[in-house]
Amino acid sequence: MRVLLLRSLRERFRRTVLTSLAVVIGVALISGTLIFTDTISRSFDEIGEVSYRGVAVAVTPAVPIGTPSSEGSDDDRGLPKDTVDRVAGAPGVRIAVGQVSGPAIIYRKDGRTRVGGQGPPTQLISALPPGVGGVTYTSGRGPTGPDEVVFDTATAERAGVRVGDTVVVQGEGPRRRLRLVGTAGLGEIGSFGPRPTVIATQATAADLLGREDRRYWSQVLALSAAGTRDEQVAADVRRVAGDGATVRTGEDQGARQSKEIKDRISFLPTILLVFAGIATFVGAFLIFNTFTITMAQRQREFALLRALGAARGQVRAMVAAEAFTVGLLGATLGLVAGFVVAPALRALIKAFGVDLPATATVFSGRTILVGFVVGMAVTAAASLLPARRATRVAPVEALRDAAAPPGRGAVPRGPVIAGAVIGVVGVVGLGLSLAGTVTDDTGTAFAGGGAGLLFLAATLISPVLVGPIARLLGRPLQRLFGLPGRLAQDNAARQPGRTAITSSALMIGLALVVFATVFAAGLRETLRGDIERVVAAPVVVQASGGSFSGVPTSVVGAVRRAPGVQSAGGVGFSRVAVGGRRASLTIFDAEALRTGLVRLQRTDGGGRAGDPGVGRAYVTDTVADSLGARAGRTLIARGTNGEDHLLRIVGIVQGSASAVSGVVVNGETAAEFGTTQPFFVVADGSREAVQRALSRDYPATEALTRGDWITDQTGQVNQLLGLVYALLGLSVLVALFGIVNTLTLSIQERIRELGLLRAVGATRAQVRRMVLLEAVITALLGALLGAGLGFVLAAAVGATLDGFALSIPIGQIALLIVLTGALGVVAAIRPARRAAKVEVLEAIAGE
Amino acid sequence: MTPARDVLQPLLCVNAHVSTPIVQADALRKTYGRGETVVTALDGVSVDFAAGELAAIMGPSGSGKSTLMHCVAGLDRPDSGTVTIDGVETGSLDDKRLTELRRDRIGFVFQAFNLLPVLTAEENILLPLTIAGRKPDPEWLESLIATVGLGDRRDHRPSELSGGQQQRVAVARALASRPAVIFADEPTGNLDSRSSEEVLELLRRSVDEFGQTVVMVTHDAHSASYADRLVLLKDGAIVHDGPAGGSDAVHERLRQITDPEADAAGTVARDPRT
Repeated sequence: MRVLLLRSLRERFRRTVLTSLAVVIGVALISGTLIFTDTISRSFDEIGEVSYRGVAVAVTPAVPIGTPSSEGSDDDRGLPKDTVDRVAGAPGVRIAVGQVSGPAIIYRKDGRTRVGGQGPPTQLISALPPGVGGVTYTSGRGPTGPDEVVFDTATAERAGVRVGDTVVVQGEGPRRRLRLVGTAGLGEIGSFGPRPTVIATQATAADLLGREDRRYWSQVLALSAAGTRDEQVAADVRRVAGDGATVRTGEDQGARQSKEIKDRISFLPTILLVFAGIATFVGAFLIFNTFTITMAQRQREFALLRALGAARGQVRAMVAAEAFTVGLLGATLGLVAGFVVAPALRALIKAFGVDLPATATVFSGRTILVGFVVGMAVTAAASLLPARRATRVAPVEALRDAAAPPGRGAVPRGPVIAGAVIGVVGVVGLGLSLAGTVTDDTGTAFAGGGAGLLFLAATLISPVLVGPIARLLGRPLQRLFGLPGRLAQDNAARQPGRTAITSSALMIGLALVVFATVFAAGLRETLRGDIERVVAAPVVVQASGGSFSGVPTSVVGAVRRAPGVQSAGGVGFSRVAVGGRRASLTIFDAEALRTGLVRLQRTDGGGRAGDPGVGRAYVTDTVADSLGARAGRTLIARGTNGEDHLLRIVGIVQGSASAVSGVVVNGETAAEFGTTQPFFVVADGSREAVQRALSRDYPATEALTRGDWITDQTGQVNQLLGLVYALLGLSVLVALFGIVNTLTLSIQERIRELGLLRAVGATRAQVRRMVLLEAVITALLGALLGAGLGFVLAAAVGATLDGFALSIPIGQIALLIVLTGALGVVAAIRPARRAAKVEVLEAIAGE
Repeated sequence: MTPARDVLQPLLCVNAHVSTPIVQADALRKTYGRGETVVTALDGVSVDFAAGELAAIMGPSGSGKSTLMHCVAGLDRPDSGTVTIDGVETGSLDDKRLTELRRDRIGFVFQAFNLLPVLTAEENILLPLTIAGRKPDPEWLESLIATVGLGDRRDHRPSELSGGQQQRVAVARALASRPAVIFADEPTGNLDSRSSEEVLELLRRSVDEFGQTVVMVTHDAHSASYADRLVLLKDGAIVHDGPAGGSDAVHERLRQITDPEADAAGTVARDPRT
């Protein structure tokens, strides 16, 4: 049997490889994701470790309760300036040094061309004495004078600036022209993580960031005297550091910092693995189909083996061994391919603005284990049913004439009924999750599982639809192409199960693409509606390119002073904790509310909402419900600076997911909670006048008309959609391999038919066209089912979102469907060429 | 159909042997393999088939009868020699022209797998016309379906027809485009004797009633007895060409060429299947 197995694998080498390819792609994506995320995880650990190398104790501003540290509010907090002296006085502390850090914007020499801008905001940090903090200078030296600055190596490269060049840096305080004296990295990593980093002296950094003595240091680091234990020193420092400070050992702080960053990007591996899982799931369809077809074609071979005395178990073992080989081959190649996928994923993420650090590639045992387990398990699961069917063959089959491919197969009822049942279960699961009956992780599992079951159900039911849809699509094809169209339609429908599974693989990919498209269109429209309702100002000023770092607070005043501008106000977003629960904080400058540049609708019967006043707030309807808040009540809210303030509720306003949410206060109130920087500024007057007024002092800001600004805001959804498309493209690719495989096998099966067609006068072109059209029908079948399913899913998910405006991007969906049909043609090129090459004599003399 | 044949048809039916040939094969040679293992399938065969005749080609296994038919029918190319069908020399045609020639001038009936399983009986009959994008003449279609006796089964698919019915559909398909010649390769090879009779009757009638030319390769003496003419092949050469006669006469001819006594050069084992 072993000889037979090896022969059989060798004979079918090409097919084995093609089948393995489905496993390869799935495993490559999974292992690539694991390698990628392990690598960046290790890099962050190293960054955390190197940053606190030699540091015994780190003192940081206490994180306010209810505001998770990962919310990125370090920049708003600070330790009093005298903390350094107090820490230095603690027993066991040899030296204490403070560091200032905060967000900044950097420009090239001209003061206009912004460096970075997309992706994570740039951070400005003050230089530490040599030997503390692990910074190494890759060229030049550290900053020593007041007008000197250092860039991290990658940022300097991207900015195209060299040591000796002049650059412009701006933080919360005044802009300053500084000279680049060096480039730096952390330890051997050469990077500070995804945030572009610039280093200045302590005095310069504090000035640029506008620090005041009360909240000066971002952290204070202590180096210990010889013979002390870090834990002991930490305990001693804790006694002197003061209430608003958190004290940890340097090692702890490093680990914590890397964990914070990793938590912040923890969604990334999850998302990537979900997409890898989808591609693997689609690959399982391909494997299932290939095995089913090849097993059917080898019925006689198996029957002969049985007739010659092979036990059923032996035949099964042979088939299982073939599946095992496919799985093993696929998983191995997939793991190797993972090394290519990992940097590709990094490049993809980088293309969307986030440059994640990568030290030496991490290839862990877990990656190998997961790769093999997934590859083998998927292959085993997908080949189980075909293998069982193969071994049920009766020995007498060997004596029968070669089974001619059926004219038109019947659709077995069992799977269709099972599909209907599974579909109902899927709908219930999805429904429970969307209706909010089950929540959190269980809810996510229900939603994912429900959607997965829906796909399975659609696959099981789809054989019933193959006939009707093939006829529907076939009729125009027949009219256009004559006989090839007619035969393509019949060939697609003759084995509905096979066609259904082939197109189902495509259906899944397309359903998700359409889901993303419809959902994104809905999101765009919702966003547009929300913004249009709230922002009435004719001019909006934002950071150039719509960067999410906001604009300096002083921009508001500059806009107000612009000729022709009567009124202007900032709009910002932050967070507060109310009763230990997090809530959004939406900030409108009083002037903007008073003058109607922004309009808030009251839902408690007060018409338009004006300025709530200092220490007063509106709450949105949803927050009012969840907090039981009413006008006249008072809340205790804690800001990102950790301070508690009373807020008196003066009314309830209509909320919207993207523009107005949580607690609404004016700018003065927000300042008490530690938030001053607006995201954008609204104004009246003319765009040109505002732009001119800003161009000198704030070159990194842009003034847009209301319409342009809204388009710009809603356009950001498209960027995300692009990333989703790129990741789903791989699933579609796997599905296309499925079409290639199925067609190739079907053509082999129908070789005598092709010969006959050629004998009675069909030209090669007609045969080729027939195969191409069959692929088009199969692809369109998947596209139509997928589009329908994706739309329903998007509508269902959208229905649960507050005020989600479902819109149907008909043009886009139609384009996707047409594109899929075209991809079907591409997939069929090779099989069609092979079909056209069939020699009449060989075909009719065959067997 | 050419006008000339229209006029000549009544004449051809009556006096087939003196008419101009529809198929002319001249000095066909074909070898397979190389060096030591070279096999000469056709060794300079020349043969003509006249309009309106039913000719049977017979011969023992390996005699070259199938190769002869494949070369003459434009399915295979001879190493040398020429084939002319209905005035067209096939050797100079490219694949596309040859395909069109097969489509328009030649009908085929194979031993098995004659029909496309996805098409109905009627659609199968019309296949050559559909491929060519031509509309069938409804009267001609009706008379064909009546002749092959499939009136009530025209909308059935091949899998719903018996073997005999399938072969009759195949003959009807071969007739549908009114080709210059029909090549039948073991048309009754897979059939029981009753079905065989029906198919052979049909071929006979197509010659007698429609003036069709039919060349049939067979191993069965009884089938050959339906023919007007018997061509016997052995070792790639024609060893007999004359009127077929009855079943017994055909048997006698066959016995002569395969008898070890009559042929000292070597015995050709008779395989009834090929």
